[in-house]
Parts: sequence; structure tokens; C-alpha cells
Amino acid sequence: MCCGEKYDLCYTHSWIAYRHKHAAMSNLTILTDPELMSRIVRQEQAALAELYTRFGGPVYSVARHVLQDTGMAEEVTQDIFLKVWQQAVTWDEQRGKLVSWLLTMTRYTAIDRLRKEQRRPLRSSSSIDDLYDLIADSEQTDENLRLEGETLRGLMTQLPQEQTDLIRLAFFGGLSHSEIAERTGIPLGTVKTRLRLGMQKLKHMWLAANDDKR
Amino acid sequence: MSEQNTQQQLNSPNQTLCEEALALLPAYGLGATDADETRLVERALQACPQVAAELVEYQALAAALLHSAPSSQSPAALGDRILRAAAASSAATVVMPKPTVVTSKPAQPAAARRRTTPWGWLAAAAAVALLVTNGYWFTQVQDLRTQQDQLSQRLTARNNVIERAAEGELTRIELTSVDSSTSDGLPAAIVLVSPDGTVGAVYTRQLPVLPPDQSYQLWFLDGATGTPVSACVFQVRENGNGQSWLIDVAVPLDLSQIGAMGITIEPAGGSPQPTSDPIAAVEV
Repeated sequence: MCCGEKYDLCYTHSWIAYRHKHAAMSNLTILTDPELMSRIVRQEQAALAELYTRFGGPVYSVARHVLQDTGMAEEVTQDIFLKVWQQAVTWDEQRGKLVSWLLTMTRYTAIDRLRKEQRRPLRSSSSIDDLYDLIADSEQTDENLRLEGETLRGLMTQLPQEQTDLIRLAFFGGLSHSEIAERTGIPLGTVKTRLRLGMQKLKHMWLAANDDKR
Repeated sequence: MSEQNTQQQLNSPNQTLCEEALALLPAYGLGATDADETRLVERALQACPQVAAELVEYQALAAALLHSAPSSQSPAALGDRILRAAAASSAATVVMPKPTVVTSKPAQPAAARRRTTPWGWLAAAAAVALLVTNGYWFTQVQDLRTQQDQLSQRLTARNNVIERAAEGELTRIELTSVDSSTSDGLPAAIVLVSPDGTVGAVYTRQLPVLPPDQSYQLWFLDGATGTPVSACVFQVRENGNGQSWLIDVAVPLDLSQIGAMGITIEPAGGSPQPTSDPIAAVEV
């Protein structure tokens, strides 16, 4: 019997189950990334808030690491989430994890900003569609990606410092061979050699670490 | 895939190109090649299958490098700023007038401007009217968005109440009608309240429908001091049944402090203190 007949409220098991299910469906924290993005496409602000809760930290971390400035990192983080708010429909879950798409976009945007600040010309395209070519981890979970980032940080400490520095300047600084040479005063040939050796070693160690995990 | 195997499998006609590209590939994966180097690698990608295969590994490494940035805590206020900017951008996208209405025609010579036809004046008046209308709708949409946000917050809070009720975390308390002559023995109201008194709901049955200038108000009485604390203000539907959610106020009493509960009739919007005797009450 439903007590709603008398009290406007039903305590039966089915009522509780129904309401509980309804409440759970309204709870954004349990949504998958694609479900969350479809709500952002529908311009649900609560979904954008949830997206920020999930990925605000990683996005801000990449922006800050590239820019080395909290103010600019905040601006870039805001730009990224507004870009998602306006162009969420361009994310294709078949082509990459949401977090990787966001972080790749963040890296490009932050590097663009860095170049504008330093009045350097842009070297690469940063259209959203191009980013998919750089995302190759659709099978990874967010937690795995985070752990992989930690692993890589550990592996990079095993490289000679001069190689690590150049990898970071290239990747997070958005500098080319010749720009690194100009910036650091290191001969161009040496820059190329150090970067190549560093990346080759890092790749070997990273693949070996991944094999060990399996 | 090792570099040694890769070298052995290179196509001989393109060997030099492929070898040069392989040497550049680690930097290319990072996006660090200069323009001429980038062109070389991209040419090699068409001609050397092993270069393309190896690039996949370097791109995967680059993708993983994204997650190696040291973790920084994003500022708490940044999220609010983003939401405000998103709301503003949506409003602007929906209703901002296109600037073509007034400025679409090139500037005319002064003599021509003096010869403005009645149609021109009509167009200008229409443009002004359109701008005024757009401004009106801009305001309307912003108001609607504010209401939508408030509604969304209330719904989230209600879902929280429902969820906690379903989990059995809320205590059920029945209030009986004070006027025994009208009581049928069943509770006049049921209050569901969390142990800390901050969330809950009140459901009523067969209470008189009040005129528009009056409201029902639920009170918690502090067991130690007897001070009434307002929990919520509510109306009932035409059948006398009603419900309200204890989400707009944080009742500064936990369940163990509540000595009694009561519902009074107050002026619309509620009162700071009860101004009439309760119509339903219970000692907790």
C-alpha cells in the first residue's frame, strides 16, 4: 500500500527505490565523461561545474607548468573551460579520452599564450580537430593516466639533467630545436642530440615500465 | 619496436630520408622540430612505414607527458568565475543583437544624408526598436537564467533530501492536530529531519487552505531554552495537503536539542517569532 493515499508520502520499498534511482540519476558526479559532455552540449551549467571539479586541477596544473605564472594559468584555464562550454560538441569520445583532449588543448593554448607574451610567432596549429592526432590513449582510465604521469616523472629523474631540461623546454615550453639553442646558448647540434637521446631513453624506459605492469 | 629493427626494414630508395626522419622523430613527437625538419618528417611518413609506426609510440609518450606536470591546486574562486563567464557567454550568444542593423550601409556623403527618404527614417526607427527589444530580451533571458540557477540549486538540495531519506538517514516525527475536535487520529504533518537538523522535509495533510496573506510556518523549539527556531514557511494545496523542504535555512539545532515542533499560521512570508498558537505540534 502506498501511504501517499493518506499522507502525500509513500514509505513503501518501491517508492524508496524509485526516488533513490531518480536522485542518483540527477547526481552529476556519477555521470560518465560522455554523459557529462552531452549535458554541457545542452548548456547545463551544473555539468560545467562538475567538469571543472573533475578536471580543473589537471588543466590548471598543465597551464601553470607551461606558463610558470599563476595569473596567466588561471586565464588559460578559464579559456579552456569556456572553449569546452561553447564547443563541447566537437569532442569525439571515439577519438580520445576527455582528460587527454582537455590537457592537449591546454598545452597548446598555454604555449600560444606564452608565445604571445614573448612575441614569438606561433609554430603549430591548435585547432580542436588537430588535437585528436596527439591523443592515443582512449583505452586508459583517468586514474591510469594520472599514475602514468607519476611514473614518467619518476623516469625522467633517471635521465641526465641536461636531457630532462631540454625535453621540458620542448614539450611544455613549446620551443623548437633552434629556439632552444637560441634560448639556452647550447649549440644547435648538441640540442638535437640531447633531445633525441633523452627521448629515446625515456621511451625505452616507459615501454619497459608498461610491460612490467602487464 | 627497436631502432635497430627499424633501420633494417627501411626501404632502400628512401633510406636516407627515412634515417633522417627517424633521428628527428623524438623531437617531432614533442612538437620541437623546426619548419624544414617538420616537412622532412611529414614527407618520410608517406614513404617510410616504419617511421609512421614509430611515431605512434612517440605520440603516445607525448600524450603521457601531459600527465606528468606537477599537480597544482586550482584556485577555488576560479570555478565560480568560469561559471559566471559561461553564463554571460550563453546570454550573449542567444540574444546579442547583430551589428548589421545600423551600420550595414557605407557612410554616405553629407548631401546624400540630407536627402534621407521616409523609408530611411522608418528603417532607422525599426533598427532602434530592434535594439530596444533586444535589450529587453537580454534582460529577460538573464533573469530567467538566474531563476534557472536558483531552481537548479533547490532541485539539487531536494535530491539530497530524497537520497538521505531513501538511505534511512532522516528521522520521522509526526505532528498531531492541536484541535482534537477536528483530528481523525492521524498525524496532521510528518517531518523528516536529518540528525543535524539541516536538511529534511515536512509533509502535511488536510490543513485548511490559507488566504494569500498568510502562510504556515514550522518551528523547532530548543529543548534547553524553549526558543523557537523557524524551519520553513509553506503553503498547502487546495486539498489541504502540502510539502516543503528544509533547504532554505540551516536550522541551528541538532535533533538532540529539539524539544518540540509546531506549526503556526503566520503572515505571508513567515515571522521571526511565532505570533499565534500552534495548530499542530509534538514534543520530541
